[in-house]
This record gives sequence, C-alpha cells and structure tokens, in this order.
Amino acid sequence: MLSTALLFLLASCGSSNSENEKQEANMEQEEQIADEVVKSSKEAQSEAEKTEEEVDKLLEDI
Amino acid sequence: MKTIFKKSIICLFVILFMAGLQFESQAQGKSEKGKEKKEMAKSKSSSEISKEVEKELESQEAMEEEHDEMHETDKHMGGKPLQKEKGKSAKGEKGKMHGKMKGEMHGEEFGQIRSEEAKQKMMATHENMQKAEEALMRSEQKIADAKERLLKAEKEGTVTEEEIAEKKEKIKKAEEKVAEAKERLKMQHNQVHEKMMETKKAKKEKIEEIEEVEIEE
Repeated sequence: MLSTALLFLLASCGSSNSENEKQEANMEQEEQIADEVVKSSKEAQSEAEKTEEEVDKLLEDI
Repeated sequence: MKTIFKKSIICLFVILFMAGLQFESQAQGKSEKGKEKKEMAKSKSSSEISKEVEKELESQEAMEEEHDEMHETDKHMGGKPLQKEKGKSAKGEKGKMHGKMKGEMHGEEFGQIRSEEAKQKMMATHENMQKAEEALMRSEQKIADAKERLLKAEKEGTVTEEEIAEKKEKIKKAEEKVAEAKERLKMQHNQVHEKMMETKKAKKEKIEEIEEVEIEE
C-alpha cells in the first residue's frame, strides 16, 4: 500500500516538473534562435560594409 | 484490532497526502495556464491572435518574394550596373517594405502578440540585412560610375593603354568582390529567414496549444 502511494507521489511530482522544464526549454530555444538571427544579420552587414571599403580602395584612382 | 486501526489511519493519511499533492500540482498547472491566458486575453482572444500571426506570416512571405524578385533582377542584369533600376525601384520598394514593416511591427497589436524584446530583435535583424543590401548596392553604383569615367577618359584619349588595362583589371576585381559578397549575403539571408520562420512556427504551435486547451475546457 505504502509503496503504491510512493509511486503515485513520485509520478505526480515528476509530471509537473517535466512540464515546467519543457516550457523553460522552449523559451530558451526561442531566445537562442533570436540571438543567432541578430548575430548573423550583423555579420552580413559588417561583411557588406567591408566589401564596400575594398571596392572604394580599388576604385580610388579611377 | 489496534494494529488494524493503526494501519487504516496511516493509509488514510497517505491518501490524504497524495490527494493534496495532486491538487497542488493541478492548481500550479492551471495557474500557469491561467496566467498565459490572461496575458493573451488582455488584448484579444487567441483566435484573433492566431489570425494575426497567420497574416503576418503571409506578409513575411510576400516580402520574401519581393526580395527574391529583387535578386532575380540583379541576376538578369548580369555584369551591368543596377543604378538605373535601383534609382526608381530601390527607393520606392524599400520605402514600401519599410512602410509595411513599420505598419506591422510598430503597432500595438503586434507588440501584444510578441514580447518587446523579440520585436526589437526582429527589427534589428531586418535593419541589418537592409543595411547590408544597401552597402552592396552602393558598391555597384561606384563600379558603374568608375566604368563611365574610364570610358570617357578612353574616348578623350587622356589615359594610356596600359593605364586603361590596369584600371579595367581593378574594376573587374571590384565586380568579383561584390558578386562574392552578394552570394554570401544571399546565403546569410536564407539562414536568417529559416531561423525566423522556425521561431514563428514555434510560437504558432504554442498559440494552437493554448487554443486546444481552451476548447477542451
């Protein structure tokens, strides 16, 4: 009887914890993706600006 | 007799304890869901929100199509400069695109769907990509101007053949650099787009989940 009760207890605690963990993991994943997106767009911008500078140098005496 | 009585009391306590725990966990779950619902219900019902998200996804796709078309025109132009077309279309279309973005992204409705932080990140991403494209367009414009200047000098005979060949080589290098940069930007653009769509899908699924819970209740 006691062991059954203990099993029920563990199961109920486990399910509520896993739901919270899932929610947290989803939030973290979303934030991570958003950060990655901003980072890659910044990289794209700096690369394009670098190319513009190189073009300026090549064409400076033309 | 006593032992039976003791055992039954212990069992009763255990059952009560378990029931209490179950009730607590359910209450926790409900309160979390309730919070989410309250936040969503503050502005609008979830069906309205999901409609807005769908609208936004559609407009995003339209924007992407416009953007792809811009790239397509770049391809069709070949090695020729883009300044003439860009002059009339780039400003106009970019203005339109910015207008769309601002119209959708600065609105209160949009802010209610997404958190402020996520909105800022989206805006920053679009601005960065826009700036990158503008930088490459400026480079193409400069190459076109340089070509015109060289052609003029060639006609006037103010430069030697050696100088012309040297300058043509430089222009070619510049064109190659811009072409490479455009290719890289295209790849990065696709990556950014994929990631953004990933986030949107996740959020849409979340909204659908909330809707399902509402329907169940």
